[in-house]
Amino acid sequence: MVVDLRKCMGCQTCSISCKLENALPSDVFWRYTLDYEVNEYPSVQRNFLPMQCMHCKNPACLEVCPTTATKQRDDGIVYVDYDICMGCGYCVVACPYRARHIIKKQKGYFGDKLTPQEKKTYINREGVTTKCTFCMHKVDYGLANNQKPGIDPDATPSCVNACIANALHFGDLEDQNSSVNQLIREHKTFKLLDELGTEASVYYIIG
Amino acid sequence: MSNIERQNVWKGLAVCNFSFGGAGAGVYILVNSILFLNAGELAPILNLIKISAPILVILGLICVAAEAGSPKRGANTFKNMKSSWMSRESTAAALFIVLSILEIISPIKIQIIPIVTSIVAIILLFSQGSVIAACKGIPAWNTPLMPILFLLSGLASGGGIIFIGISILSSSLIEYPIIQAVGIILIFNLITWIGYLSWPGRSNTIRSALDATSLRVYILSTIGIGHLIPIALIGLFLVTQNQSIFVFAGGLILVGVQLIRYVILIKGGILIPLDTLY
Repeated sequence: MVVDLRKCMGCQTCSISCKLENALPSDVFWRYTLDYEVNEYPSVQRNFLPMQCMHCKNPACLEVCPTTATKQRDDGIVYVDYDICMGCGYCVVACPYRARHIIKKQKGYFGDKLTPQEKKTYINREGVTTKCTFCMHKVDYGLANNQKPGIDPDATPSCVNACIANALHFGDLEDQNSSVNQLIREHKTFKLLDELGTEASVYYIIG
Repeated sequence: MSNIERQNVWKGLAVCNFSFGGAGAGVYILVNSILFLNAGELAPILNLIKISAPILVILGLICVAAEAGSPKRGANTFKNMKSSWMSRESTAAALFIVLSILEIISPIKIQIIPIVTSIVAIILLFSQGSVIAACKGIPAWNTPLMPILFLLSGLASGGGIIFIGISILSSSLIEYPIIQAVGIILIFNLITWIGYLSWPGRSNTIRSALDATSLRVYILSTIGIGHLIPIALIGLFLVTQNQSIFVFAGGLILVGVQLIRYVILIKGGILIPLDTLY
């Protein structure tokens, strides 16, 4: 994924779109946009930094997971097998990007009880760790139907589809001709906490 | 300066897990070492104290199970020996419990069991520290000094239990080799703890995160209560020969070591500030 920080305006549409697509409980955000200020008056600057699972090539979470519930697919997507995870929280503290969340008790948006609508979309994830999956259900659906992730909306993560500023881009980093690789080649980019050796798969454009 | 945010996944029960597990493994290693070097008339008492080791490790596992989201799937924790220190720690803990109970209940004394169990206990202590050290998300944990610190602090806890146990269960005076062994461990643990606090790498976070007063309180408590006062009490015993001093010394060692774990896990559980990334 490539995030163009020059375009992001911190609207959080991607965060909400993700919650809807993945039926996340009220207190869980698989992605969010940090909104913060740097420097002091008169040179104050407001920054937006969309955060999510970085789907690292060398994920800290994968290495520490004692149950092997955290898995990495051949295409690089890191996900949690909810049937194996025991909710020990080791991956949550190991991930430097704060991308993982344990759902102790699945709460509704309007109190502890789920509304009829929430019951319809409810996915049992209580007691396990959850995280962004790059909407792999959509990616898999698209690939099975000859669609291209990052190009065809049905095969693309919902956050990318929802971004009103066209700041989010998705594609295959292994494909040198993909749009994401083009963006990386043409712009000045960086990856978060590269010094930790996690090799994040999310690039941020800064110039 | 960024707002300080701490991990809120591993809380008090995690501290108890590391404390009980560490004390259990530590007391076992120390008791066996003393028995190996000839404990004289204290041998039966030390064997009695050794029974606390598997109990403490079991208590630690109960604590970790109580904190996990889906403890019924606990058996899955042994699945990733290849790369997860938690898998290695759990396996060492399970093996330690089985072997140490086998040693207690077995009518025939098999010489090799205490040696193997002691090695497993060392692995358990080392794994505890490595579990913490592998967390890239928490700078104050992610340092190579952590396994050594957990190994030594586990042994120090064991020393505290031995001091209390002998003082309560035996009328014989604690022998000098035991006092020397615990004293040396305390000094090494103190050096490692001070080394950790002044380490120039990522553990700096712990110093910058605590305000000056809290830092002073924690440092004085861990160093003073956990190390310097017990060492002074040992010195007092050498003068007065009053064995009851060891109950206090042992108690203070236990409090001090647990406080170290609390400071590392809870106070030091500071997440990387995200607003400094870009």
